[in-house]
Amino acid sequence: MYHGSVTLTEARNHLRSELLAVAATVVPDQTPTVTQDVGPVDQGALSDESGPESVCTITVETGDPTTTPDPEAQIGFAAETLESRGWKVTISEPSEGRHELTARRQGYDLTVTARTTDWRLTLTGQTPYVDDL
Amino acid sequence: MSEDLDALILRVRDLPHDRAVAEVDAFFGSLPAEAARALAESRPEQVGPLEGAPPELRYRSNHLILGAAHQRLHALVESRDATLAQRRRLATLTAMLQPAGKRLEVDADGNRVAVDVPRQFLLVDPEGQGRMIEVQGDLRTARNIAVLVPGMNNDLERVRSQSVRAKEIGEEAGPGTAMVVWLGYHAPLGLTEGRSTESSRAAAPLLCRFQEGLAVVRAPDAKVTLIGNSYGAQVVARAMLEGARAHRYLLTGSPGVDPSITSAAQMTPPGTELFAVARSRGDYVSYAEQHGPDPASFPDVVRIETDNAQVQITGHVSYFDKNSESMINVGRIVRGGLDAVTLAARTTPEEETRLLGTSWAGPLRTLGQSKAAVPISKAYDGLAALRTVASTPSRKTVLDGARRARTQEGPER
Repeated sequence: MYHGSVTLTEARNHLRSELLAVAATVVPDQTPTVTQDVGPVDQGALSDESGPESVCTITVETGDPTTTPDPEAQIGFAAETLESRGWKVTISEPSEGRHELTARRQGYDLTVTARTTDWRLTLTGQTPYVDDL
Repeated sequence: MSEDLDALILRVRDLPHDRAVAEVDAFFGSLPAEAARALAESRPEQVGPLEGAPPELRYRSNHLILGAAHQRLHALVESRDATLAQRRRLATLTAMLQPAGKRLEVDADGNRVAVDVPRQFLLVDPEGQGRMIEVQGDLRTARNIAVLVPGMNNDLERVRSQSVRAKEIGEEAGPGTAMVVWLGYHAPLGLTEGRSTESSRAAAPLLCRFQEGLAVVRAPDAKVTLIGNSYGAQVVARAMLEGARAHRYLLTGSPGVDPSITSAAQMTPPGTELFAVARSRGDYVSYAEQHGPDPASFPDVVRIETDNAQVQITGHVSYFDKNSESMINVGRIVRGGLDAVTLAARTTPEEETRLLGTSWAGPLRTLGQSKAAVPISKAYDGLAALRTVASTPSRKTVLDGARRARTQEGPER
C-alpha cells in the first residue's frame, strides 16, 4: 500500500531522467537510449507472494562505437558524475573484462557496466519498493 | 507435408525425450527452408510447442498464435461482451506482442542505431491461466543458457516480472548468455494448490523434454543452468529425479523435494557439473519443508552465500535482489565462474536465533507437513507479517544498514 509522498510513476520518471542525464554526461557526444522500461512489476510474484506491482527497473545504453573501449576510465568518470549528483558509489573489482559500479541514493539502486570487449555503456536502475517511497 | 507432421507428432508423443526431439530435429532438417517456414505458418498450433523443432520456426508459430488470440479477444472487447478477465488477458497479449526493448547496434554504414528486440516464445498457451516459454538472446550461439522456472502464483498476467528478472540474471551473467523463462506448466495459484505436488509432477516430464529440445538446438559446448525458484524449485527437483538434462542446477527457496529425498546424491543426474541451493535467513518456505527435507540441509549439497557487506537479504522473496551475494552467485553459476561462487556456512539454528531470538523452524515444519491447508496458510501470513513488521529489518532498514556498511571494495563478480 502506498503511504509516501512520491508515487511509483513519479519515481520511475525520476529514475529514467537520472539515468539519461548521467549517461549523457559520461558519453557527451552520444544520445543515450532507453532500452528497457517495462513499467512497474510485482516482485512478490517472483517468489510465491502475490501482491501489487511494486518496483520499476529501467535500462539505458549509450556509447561511441568508433572509439576503443576504455571501461576503467568510463567507470571512473561515471563514479565521479554520480557522486557529484549525490549518489553513494562503490566500484567493484574488475572481473573477466567486466568493469562495474553500483550506486545508491535515497533508496534508488543503480549499476553501471562497461566491458573491455564492448563499446556500449549500460546503466540499469531500480526504484525503491513502493512501500519505501 | 501436414500429414507427415501429424504422423510425426503422434509418433514422438510417447517416445523417450531424447529420441523424440532427435526425430523432430531430423524431420525439420530434411525440409527445404521454405517448406519448413510454410509449415510453421500453416500449422502454428502444432509447430509452436514442438520440442526439437527449430526455435526460429517456433517463434514464428507462437507469434501467430498470439496474434490470433489477440484478434479474438479484441473483437470480444469491441463487442462489449468481454469479462474483466478477458480484458486483462487482452492487455497481457498486447504487451506480449510488443518488442521486449531496444538494443544499440552499428549499421552497415557504421552508424549507431537502436533496434527493437523482439520477444521470442517457444510456447504460448493463451487459454485459462496461461502458459509460456520465453527466450531472451540467441539459443544457437549462446555460450551459457539459463532456464528459470518460476513458482506459485505465476499466470500469464503475472509472469512478466519473471521476464524482467531473467533479463537481470542475463545481465549479471554477462555477454554470451541466453535466458529462458519456462512457465511451461500450470503453476499453482494459491497456497492450497501449492501444498500439492500435482503441478510439479505434471510439469517434470514437460521440463525434461524441453531440456532435451535445448540440447539439439544449442551450441555443442554451451552450458545449461536450470534454476528453480520456490515452487519452481519443486518442479526442477522433480525433473531432476526424472533425469532432466542440464550442466548446473540451482534451487532457491526450495519447499523440499520429496519426503524420501535427503541427499543431493539421490537426485543429481550423472554428469552434473554443479548442484547448488540457496536459502536465505528466515526463508519460512524452506524451513517449513512442506514437500520434504530442505535441500539446503542436505549433507552433500553446495549451498551458496546470499549476503554480502552491501546487501543482506532475509525471507523468501529476495534471492534475485540487485547486488545481493545471492544474485551475484547466480550470475557466476550461469556463466561458469564456479571458482568464484561463495558458499554459506550458516546452520539453521544460527539463522533462527539471528532472526527471532527463538526457534520457530521446528513448529513450522510440523505445520508444513500437516494435512490442513488453512493453518499453514495462516502461518505463512503471520510470518510474512513478522518479517516486515517486527522480527526482521524492513527492506528500508536493510538498505540503510547496507549503505552504512558499504566500502570502496565491492564484491568480485
